Amino acid sequence: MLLLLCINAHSQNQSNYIQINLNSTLNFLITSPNNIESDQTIQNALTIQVMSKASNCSIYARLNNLTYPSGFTVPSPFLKIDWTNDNSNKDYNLITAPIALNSTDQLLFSQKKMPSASNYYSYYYNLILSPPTYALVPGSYSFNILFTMTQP
Amino acid sequence: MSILVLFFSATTVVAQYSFSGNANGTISVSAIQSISIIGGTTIPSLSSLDDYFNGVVMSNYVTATIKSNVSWVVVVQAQNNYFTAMSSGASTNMPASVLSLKTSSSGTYLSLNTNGINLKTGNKTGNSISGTNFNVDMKFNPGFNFKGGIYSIALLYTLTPQ
Repeated sequence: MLLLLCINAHSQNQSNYIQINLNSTLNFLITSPNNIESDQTIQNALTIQVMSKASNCSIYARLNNLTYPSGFTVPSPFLKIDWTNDNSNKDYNLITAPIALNSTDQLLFSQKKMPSASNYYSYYYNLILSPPTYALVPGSYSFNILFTMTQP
Repeated sequence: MSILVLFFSATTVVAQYSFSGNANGTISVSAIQSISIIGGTTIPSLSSLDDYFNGVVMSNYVTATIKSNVSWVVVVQAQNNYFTAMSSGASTNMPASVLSLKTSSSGTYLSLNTNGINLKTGNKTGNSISGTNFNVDMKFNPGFNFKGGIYSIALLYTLTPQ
């Protein structure tokens, strides 16, 4: 018996990729009652570049890691990503309202298969911190947002 | 004669291709506190013999609102050692200590001085924009040692981390 086992090993390549460009440092400074009682927004915080020539794709985001000072109890999601605009004509299922990030993947948008001649598309996002007011204890916090592109 | 049969088995692996990117950031949070005081404008008046013997109590004289992301203490201090005489003939030696404060919910009256008294402590006020409120009772007990008149003194409420 001759068994042919075909497995295509796909990886990020020049025709199918996601790239996250930070347009500013993602640092929030909370130094006043006004800062801690209202949303803080980093305008045009990041750009998601997507090229998907093999097939349609979907882009997700989640809060992958969060470190915080002792005494802080992680509340409901307090980091949000907010679409502002894009230059794509292939997007669908685009979430235009702020998306609260938690530890599970949240759909940002889907993109149809791109023509072979086209370039990547860019999607622009603000990053919003909705502080849990005075439960936000003093200290340094760090976070990592993981963006994932999936193709069926 | 033998027959060779070749079986071709195509195994399909259903997989979802996944690519990823990251964004890292930080949040720097300072100790943040605010205090607001409402009230304290009513002028206590001693008009009877009993007032002079026992003093005058004004319940809920002020309401304090605390907002803090750290444990806190409120200190109250008189701005001067003595009351300021505001009317002709009033004494100039009435000490701040004839005025005392306590929280309305508990505690004993503490006489004021210029060093400050610890009025109340608390933990961080948590996930609430409205903060924590408490009322303060005031007792004014000058006794018979001072002349009749109008007096004033400034009180400073200070909120600090514990």
